[in-house]
Amino acid sequence: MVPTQNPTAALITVNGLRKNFDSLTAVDGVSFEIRQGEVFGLLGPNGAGKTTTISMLSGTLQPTAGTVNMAGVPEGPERRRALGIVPQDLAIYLKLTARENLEFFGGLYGLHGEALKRRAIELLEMVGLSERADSRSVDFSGGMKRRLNLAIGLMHSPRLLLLDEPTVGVDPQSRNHIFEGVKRLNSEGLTVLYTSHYMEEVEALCHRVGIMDRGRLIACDSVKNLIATLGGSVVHAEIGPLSPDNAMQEEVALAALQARLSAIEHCSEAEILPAEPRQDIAGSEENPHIVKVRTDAPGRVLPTLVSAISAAGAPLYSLSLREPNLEDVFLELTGKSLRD
Amino acid sequence: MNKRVLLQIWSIAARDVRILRRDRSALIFTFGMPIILTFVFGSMNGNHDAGRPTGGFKVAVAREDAGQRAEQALAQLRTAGIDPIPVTGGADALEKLIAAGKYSAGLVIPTDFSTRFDAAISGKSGNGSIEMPFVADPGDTRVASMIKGIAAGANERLVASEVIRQYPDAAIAMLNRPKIAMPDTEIKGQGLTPGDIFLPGFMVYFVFSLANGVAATLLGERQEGTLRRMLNAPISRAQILAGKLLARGILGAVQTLLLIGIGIQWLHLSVAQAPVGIAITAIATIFSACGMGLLMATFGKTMEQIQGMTTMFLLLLGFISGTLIPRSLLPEWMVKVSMITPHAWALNAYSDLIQRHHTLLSTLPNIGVLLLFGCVFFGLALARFRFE
Repeated sequence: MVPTQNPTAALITVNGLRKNFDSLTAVDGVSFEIRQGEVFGLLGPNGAGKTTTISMLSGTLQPTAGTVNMAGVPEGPERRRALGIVPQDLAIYLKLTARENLEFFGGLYGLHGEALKRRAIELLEMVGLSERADSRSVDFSGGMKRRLNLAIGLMHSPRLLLLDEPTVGVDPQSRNHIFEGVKRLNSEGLTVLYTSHYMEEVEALCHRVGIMDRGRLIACDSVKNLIATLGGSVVHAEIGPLSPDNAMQEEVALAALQARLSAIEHCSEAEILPAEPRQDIAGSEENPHIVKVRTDAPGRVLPTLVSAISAAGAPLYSLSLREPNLEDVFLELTGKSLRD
Repeated sequence: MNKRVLLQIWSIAARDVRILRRDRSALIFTFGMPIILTFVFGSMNGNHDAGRPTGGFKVAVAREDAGQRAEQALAQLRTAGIDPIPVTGGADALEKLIAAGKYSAGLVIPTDFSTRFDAAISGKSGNGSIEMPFVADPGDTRVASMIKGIAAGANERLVASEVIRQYPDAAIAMLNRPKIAMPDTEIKGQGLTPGDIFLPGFMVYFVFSLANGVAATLLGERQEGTLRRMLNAPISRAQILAGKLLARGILGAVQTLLLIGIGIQWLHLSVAQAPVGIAITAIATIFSACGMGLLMATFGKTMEQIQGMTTMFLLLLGFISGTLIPRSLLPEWMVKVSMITPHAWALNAYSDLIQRHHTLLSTLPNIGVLLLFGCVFFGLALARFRFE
């Protein structure tokens, strides 16, 4: 469930950001803003330019062109104090304990004494490592290391947390800890930039999402608005052949069915696609079809669709209704899957 | 530089020291090996128990003559600083031992040594010579020639003492002849202990071997992503390098203190005459060595490159600079080249203070050059190191 926030003012404004590495353009003219108190997602496949964008936001990488402005915070040490960064690759000292790791990085941000110790204890509790606080992190599981990696980024109570693929290679328990932690921090007012190539995570956590591909930001809006651009839910119906013994009659029947589907109200898109050949009960091969209908009112469309199929004389093998997601948005925008 | 900046540098240094304390093999290489090597080398070249200057040359002696003159010859050799090791089996056995490299040199006292000696002194043999054949290891001619010179002096004294005893008048006339005086000029530092001789070179070499660790730890942080994480914090790159340098500097100080302790306890190192000067030299040497380590880290992309490069480079500098081989044994051009290494300046400073008993003031130029090396190395590392 997305946390309830009403973000308005921009905390970070990114304008025309570009980064070239020799002949490779890793980030190409990216512009977006992250609003105060929101969880902003950057979604894209590996190599899309998310990490490079984060590096430029954090100031560790100098952009080739473009600007990054943070409301009321100038570039330099003050900006770095306002940002908490959780890198994609683990960045912890394996020979130090969880507590020592936290206290060391907290010290670099100017925390000391009781405040430093207290903050370390708070975060160890938040990420579920209190009982292993004084164990060396070399002995931790991958998920525990990830949680420690996250906690380090929070030691100095930043205004904006940059999370770069924080759940890569994480076990379900640790993923849950990270998820709950991010939600709790956001509900307490922390602004978060969350990059991932897992669309389920981004959908569950983020108020708004920027979709990146090949260094470019190809869409940026709320999850709901992005999905709405697809035109609603998709109904898939697998049907048998309409006239198995006569190819010409089959063609005619399909054309008639297509005409009926197109006439259905609240239906933005309807098509009939060939399905994988299959064997019927008698053991002979047949060529079924997939009827794909996109609609913003599936409850009304389904009975009409079933009637149309029945009227065409086609056996209905299966019927499914699928809500579109960011994966479909990405597919629509780029013609490829996020995991390609 | 405000307190916060210093605290951040200290945080980095303290963390590195803590990590190293948990790395047993690194501790052994940083502290154990230098102590063991110093002790072994020092003991090989001098008697640490007696507390006397370096021990005598061990020379194999095949004594075939049981006479009194042979006994007197051996006594003279001992007085001259030669430690005669008796060899059984005569001249042949002695030659085999020398050929096998067991000793640098050997002496044969032939069966007729006493007879010939007495005949020669009494004038009964005319101009007949007295022989004490000398056998030298062809692989160690430098030491062998020194031994030969010492043995020749001992034999001269043996002959002179007997001539004086038998011909006092002639001897008095000889003693009253005009002389060309060669008075000894006293130089401070005579009577050096094994510690005085070997410790300066060891302290310099082992401290510079810390450069390897400095380079490796910096590169390791870059590879593990923790360097980037530090860069995200509100601290400067110079602070990060200073923290790394300070951490290894602390280790270098502990290492130097341990070596000095071992030197005083076992090898009779003399530090009492210039403790402040030695301390300042140690700090300047450590600074220069750690700065060199930071600079070396800028030349390698992988840990393997760094390890291989620093090991070979430090060994090369060790030879060129005179820390592993005395500079007196180096050709002239190499002695000149050695002055481009910080090792040579560190060695000069330690040698001036420990061996020549110079004042701190007179060795300040050496210390200044060392500090300059350190600053240049640090500046170049800061400019060259790819933090990303």
